[in-house]
Amino acid sequence: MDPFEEIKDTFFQECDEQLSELEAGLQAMKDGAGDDDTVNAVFRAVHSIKGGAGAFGLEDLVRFAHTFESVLDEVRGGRLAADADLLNLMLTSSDMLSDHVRAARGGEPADPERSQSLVQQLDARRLGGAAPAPQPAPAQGSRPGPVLTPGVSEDGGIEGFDFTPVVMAFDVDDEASQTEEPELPILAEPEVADARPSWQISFRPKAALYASANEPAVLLRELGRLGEMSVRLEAGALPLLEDMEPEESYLAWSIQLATEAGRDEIAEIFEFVEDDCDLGITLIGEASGEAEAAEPIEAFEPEGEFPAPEAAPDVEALIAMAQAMSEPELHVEEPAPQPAPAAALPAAPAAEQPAAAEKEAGGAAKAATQQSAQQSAQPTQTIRVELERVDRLIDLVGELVINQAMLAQRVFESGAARNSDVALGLDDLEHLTRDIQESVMAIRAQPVRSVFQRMPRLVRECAAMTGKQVRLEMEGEGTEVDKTVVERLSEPITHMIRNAIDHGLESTADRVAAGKAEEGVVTLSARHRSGRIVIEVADDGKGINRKVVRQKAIEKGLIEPDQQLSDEETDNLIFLPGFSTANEISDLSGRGVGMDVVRRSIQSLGGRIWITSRPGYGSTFTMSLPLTLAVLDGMVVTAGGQTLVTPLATILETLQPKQADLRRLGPNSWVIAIRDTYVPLIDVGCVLGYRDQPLRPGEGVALLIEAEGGGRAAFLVDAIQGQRQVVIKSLEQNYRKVEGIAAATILGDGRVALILDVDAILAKRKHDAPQTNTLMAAVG
Amino acid sequence: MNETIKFPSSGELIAFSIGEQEFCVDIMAVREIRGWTNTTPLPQSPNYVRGVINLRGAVLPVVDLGARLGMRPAEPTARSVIIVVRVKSQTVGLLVDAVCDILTVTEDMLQPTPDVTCDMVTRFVTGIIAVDGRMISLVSLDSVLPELEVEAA
Repeated sequence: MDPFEEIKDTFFQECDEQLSELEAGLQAMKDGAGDDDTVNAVFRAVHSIKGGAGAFGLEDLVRFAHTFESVLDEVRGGRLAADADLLNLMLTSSDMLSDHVRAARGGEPADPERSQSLVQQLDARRLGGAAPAPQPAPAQGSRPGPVLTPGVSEDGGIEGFDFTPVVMAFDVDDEASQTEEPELPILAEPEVADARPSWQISFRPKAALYASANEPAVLLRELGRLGEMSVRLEAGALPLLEDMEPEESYLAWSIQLATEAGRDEIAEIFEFVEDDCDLGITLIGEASGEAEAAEPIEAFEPEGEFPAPEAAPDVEALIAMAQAMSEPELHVEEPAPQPAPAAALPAAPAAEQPAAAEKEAGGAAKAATQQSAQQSAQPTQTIRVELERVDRLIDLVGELVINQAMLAQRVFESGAARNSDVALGLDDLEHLTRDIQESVMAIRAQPVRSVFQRMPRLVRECAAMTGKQVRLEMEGEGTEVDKTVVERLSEPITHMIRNAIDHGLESTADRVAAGKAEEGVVTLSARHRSGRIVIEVADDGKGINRKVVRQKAIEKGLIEPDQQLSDEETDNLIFLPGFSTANEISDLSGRGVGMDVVRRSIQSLGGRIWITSRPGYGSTFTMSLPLTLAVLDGMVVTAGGQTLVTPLATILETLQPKQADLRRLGPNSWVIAIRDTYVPLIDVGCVLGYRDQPLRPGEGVALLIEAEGGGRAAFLVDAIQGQRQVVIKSLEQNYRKVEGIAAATILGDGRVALILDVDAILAKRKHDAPQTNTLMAAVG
Repeated sequence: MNETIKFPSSGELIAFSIGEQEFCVDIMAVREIRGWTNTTPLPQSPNYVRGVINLRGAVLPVVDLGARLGMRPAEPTARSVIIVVRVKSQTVGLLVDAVCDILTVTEDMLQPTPDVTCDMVTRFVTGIIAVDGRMISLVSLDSVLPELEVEAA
């Protein structure tokens, strides 16, 4: 790939991440869970997209992002209240932004009119809302809103990478504070320049700094821009010329800087070199009264979830804070970098702070410890790797496992004792290979969060459309599953949630009449269970009306009027194609293409879905999926002397057909009676051409199969060998598609076994009813 | 047929026998040579596709080259050999009776295929090499696997 394209590709990948960050942030704000960090994370997401888009000359995207960003900047600055209207507008705008990204990627272009109208609305809000009086940010409760120091806010964050500190207002001592209102932040007065805090910065680059082509002069020049600076070179470590290692670093600088900028801003300059230098940033002067200054922290103690950065003041923590600024959701407020002359600033000398803070604000300190723990966990290092390489690795490890099993078998066949050294060594090898396999599989695993976090919005939209009050509760967002599975979960979950709101929950009036809370609850949960992921969508609605379902099924000819069904069977009728219980077609959940679509997409992932329901108490949809698509749960069977694998997800049950259950239908077709229903009997060995003569009735074992399309049949095979997880191997890679065969796998003995394509076999049988056996010649 | 692959660039060929006849392929196309292992037969396949085997995790189709050339299907024994070759982007095993030797030849040793009526010969044999009184047919591998559209019927 052209290197430029490669960078662009990375940019778009990052856009995806930023967009979901953005949406999650906006949602959190709307749910009232947002704080300053959220606002900043949201702002940064849009800002990064804009920045990248600018570099690639994606003008439409830049323009829209800029408008969006400007509004967010106002919100971030506390000059614009993020009320529900604005948040809705911003949520819509985030959609539009994602449309623009898609368009820039070469996809379908974004709707220009809608985009334009959104730009106008955003502008209107920004201009209309840019009142000088700073307002508390939404969802902050009693917490003072973030403000910007005016000097910085003019260009804050719009140009390049410069950074706008978020100031936390403190209800400081009366004589120092300019207001009694905690809601009203203390505004900085830029004109009192003399009182600018003075910082002592020591900067000692390591050789690695130079090795990665960084230049201290540039950093110092940057630093100089923050304020008045005096720099002293410390060349004491410089050896004699003959002792000098040309690539070693000997110089250090000590800098005194008078600036309004906060620690973050100073640390940010060193952001890219912080690992490659010894850096110390200390505030000097203004040192008195820190005890009183720390006092207001206590006011925040009850809100333990808010970080109290004052309690994490050593230099490393500061650098970590600076790092955290670029981390989503983890934003740490800096002590107000106010130039206020009063001594009551919480900006005490770093060394003295921990004690004070711990003493004064134990709870806050705890929160900060938590915070720093999170910080160390948060910036985990990642690399982007082509999926193909990972898949190759997974393939190879799969082989390793098979090979190891074969080797073990051979060793024992050769007569080695179980407790011999060889056998014990093999046991260790087996453990190792299993560990490697698990670790490798984990590379592809991703939390389902990316899918889950789209759901709150969906729920709000559906709730608005149906006029119901709905609360979404989510559990287990961190549950990990293979990337391909995650990607394909979105559609079925969306469908099930819509269904739960539209059909599951009662109207508010009905709920009240039934003595339930007005607000319906939809629960979306994920968890691991015996090597599979189980996802549940539960509602506390009215449950399934079995009478109506049964009636409907009879009307649609899906069941016979006199057919006896258990409650469970009745409930699961809703998965039949063409079944839809809503009497009226609603905007929300489909036109009779409801749950059967869901079931099909789940089945295509090798999963199963079912419903449990208690009338009056609600319904729960449960789907169980494999953790990866590279592995299949299969039933290993023998047919016509060949070993075949049937996907377990398609098998409803296995049975020993009795002669009495078999009926001839037409010249050479058989059907089998399974509890009053007749399903066609398919001799797999014959269909695949492995055998001339069909099994005699009464011989073999039947698998009751349900295809993705909903069709049922009984597959007649010679014998069942057992259930096994098999690694799916492509036939097409070196050969081509074979009708009736989905893929291949390699069994423990190293032989290739074919995996049946159940749907194709069902369809095939319909096409060529009289079996021809031209294939027999191919069978060795 | 592919006109470009007339003569292997390396000048080295692997010669093998099927029945009484000798054939050869460009050594550069050969990945490895293995003993015969039982194949898993594939449904819906022409008779010269013996099935698939496990080649260190890859599913490898095995073509009975004799049958592909229109001869009798082979009856593989423990001494039969599978020559693993790379054909375009795919890897295929060729079932032959035995590998004879490696030949180093020059282009002038390659004679045009004598005009015989057999279709298969004109389709797969690009030329004849005479070495020490042996007649060895140079096989073009490009179409040993069945084409999808041909088999659609």
